[in-house]
Amino acid sequence: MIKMNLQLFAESGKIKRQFMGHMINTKLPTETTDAYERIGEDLEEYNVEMNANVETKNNILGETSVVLDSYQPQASVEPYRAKIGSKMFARLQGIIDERQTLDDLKTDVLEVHLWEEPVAGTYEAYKEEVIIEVSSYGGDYTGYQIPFNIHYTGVRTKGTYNPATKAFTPDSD
Amino acid sequence: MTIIDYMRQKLKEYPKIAEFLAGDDIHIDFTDPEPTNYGFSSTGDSLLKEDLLGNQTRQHNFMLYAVGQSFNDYTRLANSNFLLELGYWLEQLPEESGIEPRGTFKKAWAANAMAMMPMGEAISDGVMYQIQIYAQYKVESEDILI
Repeated sequence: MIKMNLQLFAESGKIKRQFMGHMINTKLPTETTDAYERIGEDLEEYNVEMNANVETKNNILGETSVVLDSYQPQASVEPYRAKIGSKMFARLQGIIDERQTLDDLKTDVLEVHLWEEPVAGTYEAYKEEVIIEVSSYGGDYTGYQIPFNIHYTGVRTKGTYNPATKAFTPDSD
Repeated sequence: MTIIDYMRQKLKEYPKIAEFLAGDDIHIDFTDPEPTNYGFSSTGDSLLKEDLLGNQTRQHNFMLYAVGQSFNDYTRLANSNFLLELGYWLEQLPEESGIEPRGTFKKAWAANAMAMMPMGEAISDGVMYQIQIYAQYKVESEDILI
């Protein structure tokens, strides 16, 4: 279902949190067709921690040299409440049941800039390869929970996302 | 229906209320002084949390006033047991969609069931009981769904 209420976009000012769209590819390791699902239901907060590698040195002139040479981004999805019919749940339960490791944990995420004007129904988006780490499963009496961490690998592609077809298209250049 | 309509409907469906009501309705915001009557008041709605997609979890607070017979300890104990069982029943209500606008009922519970005041000079005129009822529901964001 797609519903965009563009009247709620502010041309200037603060951007509502839901307009930074985080999607995760829920296709199973055996599948070839992408199946993106939005991250955010029940989540009050989702932060991609950049974990920059920063080296600082002081010289005898009293100056400080700062070198930031890489990032190791990571994010945590907690709580994640399992829901029957959700492909994300099937993906996570597969990791738990089969104790998946290595490439079976690979997938990709999208960051979709929904605050921008769509061009032919598509939004600017960045795709990045990630590793899913199920940190625990079970939870309290309120429901079955599978919190997980997302480790970004740095393989990042710029492109567009079409909400109607739920497809990501990389830029041609 | 709104969360107020929904909870009123649920209370009407409570089997033991039907026994007491004897065909009458649950009043909104007033209670007839005759035993046994029920009045249902909404006392406020608050936002508990909002997720990344803009979906809101809200809580609506109600007060149910019930005028019960109070001839002796036996009838007063029966009134208290009625309120206790109503609290248990509310906790068992399942999740259900259909709350306007774009809402889903999540859960309900009760607290502070107590005798509040006699309805007349004699204790046999009936006693007003009150019970606070809380209903939690989720409202889907209208901003964006992709």
